[in-house]
Amino acid sequence: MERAELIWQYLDKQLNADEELQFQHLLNTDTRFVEQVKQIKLIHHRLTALPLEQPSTSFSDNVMLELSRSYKVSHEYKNALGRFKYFLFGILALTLGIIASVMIYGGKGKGNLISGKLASLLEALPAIDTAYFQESYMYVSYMLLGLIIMLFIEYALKKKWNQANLSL
Amino acid sequence: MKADSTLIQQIKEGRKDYRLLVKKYERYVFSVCFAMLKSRELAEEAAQDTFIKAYKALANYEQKAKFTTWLYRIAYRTSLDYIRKRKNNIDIDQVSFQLKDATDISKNIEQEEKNKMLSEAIHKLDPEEATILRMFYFEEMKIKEIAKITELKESNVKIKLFRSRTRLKKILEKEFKEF
Repeated sequence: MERAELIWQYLDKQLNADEELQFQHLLNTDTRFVEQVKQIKLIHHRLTALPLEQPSTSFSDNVMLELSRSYKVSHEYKNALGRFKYFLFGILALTLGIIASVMIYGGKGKGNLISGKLASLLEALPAIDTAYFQESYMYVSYMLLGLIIMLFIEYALKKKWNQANLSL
Repeated sequence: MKADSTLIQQIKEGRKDYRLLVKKYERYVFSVCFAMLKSRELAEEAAQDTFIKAYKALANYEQKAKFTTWLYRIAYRTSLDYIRKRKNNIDIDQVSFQLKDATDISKNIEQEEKNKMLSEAIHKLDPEEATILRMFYFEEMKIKEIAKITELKESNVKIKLFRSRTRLKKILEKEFKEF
């Protein structure tokens, strides 16, 4: 180990027993080494005492402002998506309702879209007493089902968001 | 560390303001960025980006790693990105060193002068060496922690640290004789 490294390691308290002995020996016998220790020790102490750099006084304000800006945009986007999602879910629920209705009633000779095994499988399912339902009620019930699913998803997402929500 | 984890948990739950965390670590993060980028303006920008990235990732921060290691790693990577994007046209001579308000006590002025010289000498080192050196002298910053931040092996960090100190000494002897 070269002398400078020995000195830095000494100042970092990283020397093992042998190196410590070597260091002490040089310190007692070599005046140039003593001078070198003094110089390095001075730099080491100044480095230790060197204050941290100071950002501008408005630094934290700028960070918070930038964060609120980016989250405002994100919230505006989410709100727009939020309004749009009701429409999307409505369309989806209506479509599902129509498809389901056609599938269920289709077997009665009203434009069956399914056939073969799938049709018999569906017919084997516990029968829905359609006497109580008109097609329009079916649509409404599927829309309500869609709405319930949507509310559940929204609740779950909100819960997750709140957990991660950080105070601005 | 426990104080940090409590504060982070409270911030996550919305009971404390994120600004507290920014205030607590702004000087450390800024110092890392400044050592890397050697420009106050860029360092400020990079430090700001660091805190924004940290905020966005805070919900996923699991507190397995020490918070400062996690935060400084973001600062280090962000600064590296700035260098890679060649956003910085570093000109050592144009680096502005802001000193704190000078006091009328000559001892403090002298101390500030020495600090200024030391800072200038550090900024003549290459970005990685300057950052490792700066981080090493942060409070309680160990080689192991620096290795995690810079994603270097501990042995490499030791070598780079020794090299940076040797170079720093040479710069001080050559260019700052009054140091």
